[in-house]
Amino acid sequence: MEEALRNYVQENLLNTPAGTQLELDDDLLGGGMIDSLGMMNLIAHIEEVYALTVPPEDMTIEHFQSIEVICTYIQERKVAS
Amino acid sequence: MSTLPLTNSQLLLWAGQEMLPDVPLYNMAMRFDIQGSLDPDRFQTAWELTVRQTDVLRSIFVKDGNFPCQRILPEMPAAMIRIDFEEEEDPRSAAEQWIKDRVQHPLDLEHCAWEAALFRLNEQQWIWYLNPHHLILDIGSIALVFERLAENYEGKHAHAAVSFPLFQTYVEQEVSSRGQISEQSREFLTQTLGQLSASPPVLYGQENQHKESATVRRKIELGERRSHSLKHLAQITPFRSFTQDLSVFQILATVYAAWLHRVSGQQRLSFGVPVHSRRTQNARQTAGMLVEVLPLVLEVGEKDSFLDVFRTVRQVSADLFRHTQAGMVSPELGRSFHAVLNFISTRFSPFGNIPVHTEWLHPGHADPGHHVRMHVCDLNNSGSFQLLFDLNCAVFDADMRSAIPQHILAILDAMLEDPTQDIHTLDFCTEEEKQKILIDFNQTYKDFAVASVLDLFQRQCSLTPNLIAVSDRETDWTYEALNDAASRLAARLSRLDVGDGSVVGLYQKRHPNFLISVLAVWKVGGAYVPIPANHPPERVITVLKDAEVACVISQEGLVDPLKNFGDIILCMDSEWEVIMEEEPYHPSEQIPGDSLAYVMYTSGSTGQPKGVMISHHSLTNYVQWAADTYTEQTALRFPFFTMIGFDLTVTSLFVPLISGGSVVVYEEPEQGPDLSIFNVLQDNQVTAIKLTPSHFALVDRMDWQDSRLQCMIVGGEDFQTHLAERMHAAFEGKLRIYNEYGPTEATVGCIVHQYESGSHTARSVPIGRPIANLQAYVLDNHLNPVPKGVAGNLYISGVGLAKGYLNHKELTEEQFVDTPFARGSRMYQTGDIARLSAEGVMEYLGRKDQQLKFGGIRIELGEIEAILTQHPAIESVVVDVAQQTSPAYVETEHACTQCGLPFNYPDAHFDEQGVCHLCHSFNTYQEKAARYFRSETELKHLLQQQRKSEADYDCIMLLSGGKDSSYALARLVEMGARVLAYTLDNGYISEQAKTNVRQVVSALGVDHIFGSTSAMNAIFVDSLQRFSNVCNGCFKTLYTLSTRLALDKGIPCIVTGLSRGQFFETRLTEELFRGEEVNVSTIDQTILDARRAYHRVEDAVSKHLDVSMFDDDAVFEKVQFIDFYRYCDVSLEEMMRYLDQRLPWQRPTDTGRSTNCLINQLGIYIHKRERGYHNYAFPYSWDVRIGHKTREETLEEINEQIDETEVEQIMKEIGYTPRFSGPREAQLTAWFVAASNPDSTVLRDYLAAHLPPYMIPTVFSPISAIPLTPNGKVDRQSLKSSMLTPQSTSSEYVAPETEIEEMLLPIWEEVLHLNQLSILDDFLALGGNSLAAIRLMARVNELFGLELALTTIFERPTVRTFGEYVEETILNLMES
Repeated sequence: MEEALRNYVQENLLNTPAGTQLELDDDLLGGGMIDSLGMMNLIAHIEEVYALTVPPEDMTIEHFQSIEVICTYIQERKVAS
Repeated sequence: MSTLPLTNSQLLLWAGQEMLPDVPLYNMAMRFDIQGSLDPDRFQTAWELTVRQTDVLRSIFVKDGNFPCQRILPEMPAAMIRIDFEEEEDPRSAAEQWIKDRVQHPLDLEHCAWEAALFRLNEQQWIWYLNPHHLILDIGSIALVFERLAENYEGKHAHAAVSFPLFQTYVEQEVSSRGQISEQSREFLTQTLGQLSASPPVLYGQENQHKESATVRRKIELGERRSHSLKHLAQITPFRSFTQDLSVFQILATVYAAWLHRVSGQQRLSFGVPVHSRRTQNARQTAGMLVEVLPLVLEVGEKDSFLDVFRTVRQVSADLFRHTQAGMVSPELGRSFHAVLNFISTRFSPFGNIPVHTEWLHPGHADPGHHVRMHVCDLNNSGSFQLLFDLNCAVFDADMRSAIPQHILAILDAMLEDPTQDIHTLDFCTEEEKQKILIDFNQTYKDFAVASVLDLFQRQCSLTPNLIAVSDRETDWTYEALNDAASRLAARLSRLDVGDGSVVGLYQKRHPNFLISVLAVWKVGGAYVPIPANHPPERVITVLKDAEVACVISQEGLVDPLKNFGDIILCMDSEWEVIMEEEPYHPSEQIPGDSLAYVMYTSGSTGQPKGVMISHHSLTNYVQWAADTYTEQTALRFPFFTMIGFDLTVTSLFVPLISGGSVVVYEEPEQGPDLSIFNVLQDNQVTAIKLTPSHFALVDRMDWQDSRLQCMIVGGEDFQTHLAERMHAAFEGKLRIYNEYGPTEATVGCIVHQYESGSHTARSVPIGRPIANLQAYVLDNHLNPVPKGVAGNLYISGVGLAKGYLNHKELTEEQFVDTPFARGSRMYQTGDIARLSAEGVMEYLGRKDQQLKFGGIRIELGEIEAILTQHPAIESVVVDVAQQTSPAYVETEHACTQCGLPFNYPDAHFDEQGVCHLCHSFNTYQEKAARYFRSETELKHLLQQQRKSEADYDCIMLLSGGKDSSYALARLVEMGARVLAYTLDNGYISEQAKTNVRQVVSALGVDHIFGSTSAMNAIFVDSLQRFSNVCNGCFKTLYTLSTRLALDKGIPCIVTGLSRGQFFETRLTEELFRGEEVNVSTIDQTILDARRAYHRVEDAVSKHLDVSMFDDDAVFEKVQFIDFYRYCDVSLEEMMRYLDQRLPWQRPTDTGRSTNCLINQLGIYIHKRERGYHNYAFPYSWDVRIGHKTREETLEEINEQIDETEVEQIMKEIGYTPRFSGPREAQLTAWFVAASNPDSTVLRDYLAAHLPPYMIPTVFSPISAIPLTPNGKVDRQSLKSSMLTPQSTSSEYVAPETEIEEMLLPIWEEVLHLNQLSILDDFLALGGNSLAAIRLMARVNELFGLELALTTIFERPTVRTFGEYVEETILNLMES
């Protein structure tokens, strides 16, 4: 999942070739790679691919800081639902 | 050079600019103050390089045909301007002056979409000015361009070879992705669109009527403290989100929504939010226009706190941001808001190492649809947010423009202070506003020293003892005589122990005696309770008991039911002589101001009327003010013609009597409606009149030529501007017209406005300003004042307030509350909604609760409901006023997404995809329906089978000259049939169509007849009245005449050219295909039965044409109707090809549409006006459903413009008067659920025993259950809209028998807006009110040259009884 998500972010949000420098713990928001609207696109993608809904109250840095964190969040969400 | 289309967002800007080509609507000018030394040449080179690197800076905009496109030039010839201002006396202001001029200069988009300039103020101070059109850059892109410029200046990108992401790429992607919106986004969009209300929230009640664009920008520095608290709040859960920017945006959007809610009063809100499409790294590096303004739609709850609104905002904004895709904007979305919230996260960098101060300049104009825009930014990264407000100058005056930012700021402060507080409790008006609306507006002090109207009257008596004070038709009373009579009656009262504090019931008709009684009661120190003579005894008794009257002054004929009151009843008429023998009583002392003058009973929601107690002080204040205001040079003569129990009447009685004027009395009739207004106006004695707007509707068409009226006071209910204007015009401006507002609880009138022609554009005349010594306030539900323009609850305070409700202490405390901003004073909660207009006058907007005024008289619907519910047969009941209006025509943008059926088609319903129920259900029986259709071979066979060798022809073909019938005719000939072509010339067949007919029949070599009838116009009129179209009448004529022809010539078949769509419209209903098996012969039989009935309906056709052949069933066997297209399935395209190749047929161009008939447009016009949709919409939807037409083709035809002048001309020619001249009158309606269905007469009689006549519903409508809203409240709207046209009430239909009845019936039908009435139908039972009666009587008198009294219709309410009377009258006239 991490790989798929990383590729998506690289190709669709960062416009860099797949496999190049994006560490799983890179700070997406704080590092300025993605802004909040870009993150909204990522959320729409996650909701579609992983068939879950991200409620607005979950849209915080704690859940979406890095690829790693996002994956954990997705796992939790899937278990919860 | 590349030529590109525009993105959707650009298209909107382009269209906006096209509307106002010379206005700098979208100049995005920026000013950069560069504080350091600069090399101007190097700067210029850097700019030129930037332009070469940035494609969008080289784009120009041109039109390709009608479509705009953008061209990216290889080189941009335009250059940067350089000016050195150092030599100027004040270099900075010189530069600023230059900028100020240029900022407002429209850009020449065909040559260069930006202007750039560099100014030298001195060696260390430079200004760079860049003014791009918004079509090319948004603010983020300007920052990008500025950054690039700085980098180029520093030599970072030495060559043009450096490539930045192109705007072209973005445009191409946006354009190619159109129509590929993801499933989720589409769903979101449909949902958003579905939630958008028809009209966006109106801010402060203001509109931009002339779509003006001038705006001013006001800047508010939020300051460090507020910015800090804002950012602090953004860090706290639940406000915290991904980024501070997003959190701050959501908080500000909450504030904006709260403000919008408070100043629009709407729960459902929408405001525009610019959203950028820079989601990817490439897009983030693209300079261009990448922003779309989309609506944020949300609903605010009745008790929402900021936190609640925030949660909603968070949800809807997350949805919006998640689902937006570039290209989503549309004109429809763009029209859905008047307010924009623009959160700008862009920060501008310094110029290399040189510090820069950046400022966004305003061009002085904005989109006319954007009434308020609030931009939030911190362009210079100062740590403090700036709020920039663009405020439309046509919408808001200067006061409002300064107040609006303060309101938003106050709401922001409130949220920062306590986000858990209810947004409805906020007091956000500025102190200046409060001073103006609470204090200045209410400076009404005037010293009226006299304590009572009685004193004023007696003073007048000593001044003018011999002037006429009161007169009725028999007697004149001088002031002295009136006073004397009152004094004698007072003596009698006094002997009956009526004195200080006594309450006396005046249960009387209008008569001078009423005035004598009032004065007498006052003389002995008592108060009167007026009880109109037409009130049912039960109610009279209730009131007399409630008021604990010491005495009842009444008259013979009324007192019988009051036996229980025995010895306290005084009959003025029978005891007159005895009373007049009394010694006059003269009060020794003045009446104390706070003692009671009268108690007036008004309708109460509990089912019991309630008594309003008015003191002498209040009454005197009003009457003195009114006499001062309404009397000019000469004292006024008023009519006494309205109910004594209606406080409007107080004006007509006492204003003249304290000012030397007089009262003319018009007694009410024995029975039936009170139409004294006519007598008043016919007599033409009075110079002033006080009436209700409902009276106007009655006297609307009077001839005012010789009227002596000087002053007209309108009160009691909403006064519409057009009525005022009509009166103004009728009197050539010589009539003073006043609109007087006032609940009984504030003594007759408390706010007044003198009508000035031309100064009011709103629907209703304002109610104006408070009268002497009264105050009016518009407050919210928490008693805070609301700003100008915003609707709120109207409260009244001051001298005129009633003492309260008699014996209802709790209710008094509820309605009369302490004034929060004036210690020790009370105010009355009127229950009315009002607002203070921008011009500073009060406007009445309606009732807050269910209480309403009907004919100017206050009615609590609850009171009627309470009494009806007590009837044993009634289970539950709802009473309300329902108006039957013609549905407004809707341009068919909204139509079934499959077949084009309009959304307002009766009873149609649509699924989420916008597909109508007919399309859905057709899917279920389409296959079955197919079995009804036959093959061409069968048609040939049928024709041969029916062939009669003795006849010259096998069939008549009904040839309209249109494409369908021409094609059918040709095909019949091809099949070898001997055809007689028949065309009905209805007088409006276009010349080209006739030519087509002639050429087609001659080319085919068939015989042809043009049929006609002299009754055609009468048939059109009848058809318009019955069906709101002309086609039905025309078709029936055609069938009738052709059947007669077929019988005469022995022709066995008539072939029609009806389209398959028309089959489904007229015959093939869904019900025919319900069963498991479809039996075609059963269907044929059903259709034949329907045809039989059709030809036997009595209408204009049966009246004017020979229809005797239809009496005999045999005709339907002798002449068979064959629908050609039942046997032939041909597409439009194929048909047109055939016509082109084989026949000399031309598409008519002289009818303006694809019809061959010129009168058709009248039918379409009337149908649209009366029924709200095109009469072809339904058959066309069937053509689409069965695949003979496309949805687009039908919508194009349906939305064609109709030439109204031609339509008017045709109406004149055929003698048709449309019935939609005005809205139909509202009727008091009771919807009830009952086990056994009680007759409406029974219910009417029952109510008549409890309630005055004006409270008895006109319409009683049985329903199976009371509809409820989702909140469980009675769904009044649904009841009102479901209101069907009342139908004939008599159990059997009786057609007119005599000639007079025949002439009368159409008049009944017309004035009642009903069809197919029976001559036994009761005019009154069908909702015939006094207005309808007047129209009816006018028509009858004109028609027969009679002068029948208006009351005739009430005495003889059916065509039968009325007709007999007319006949009798005519005979009498002839004999005499």
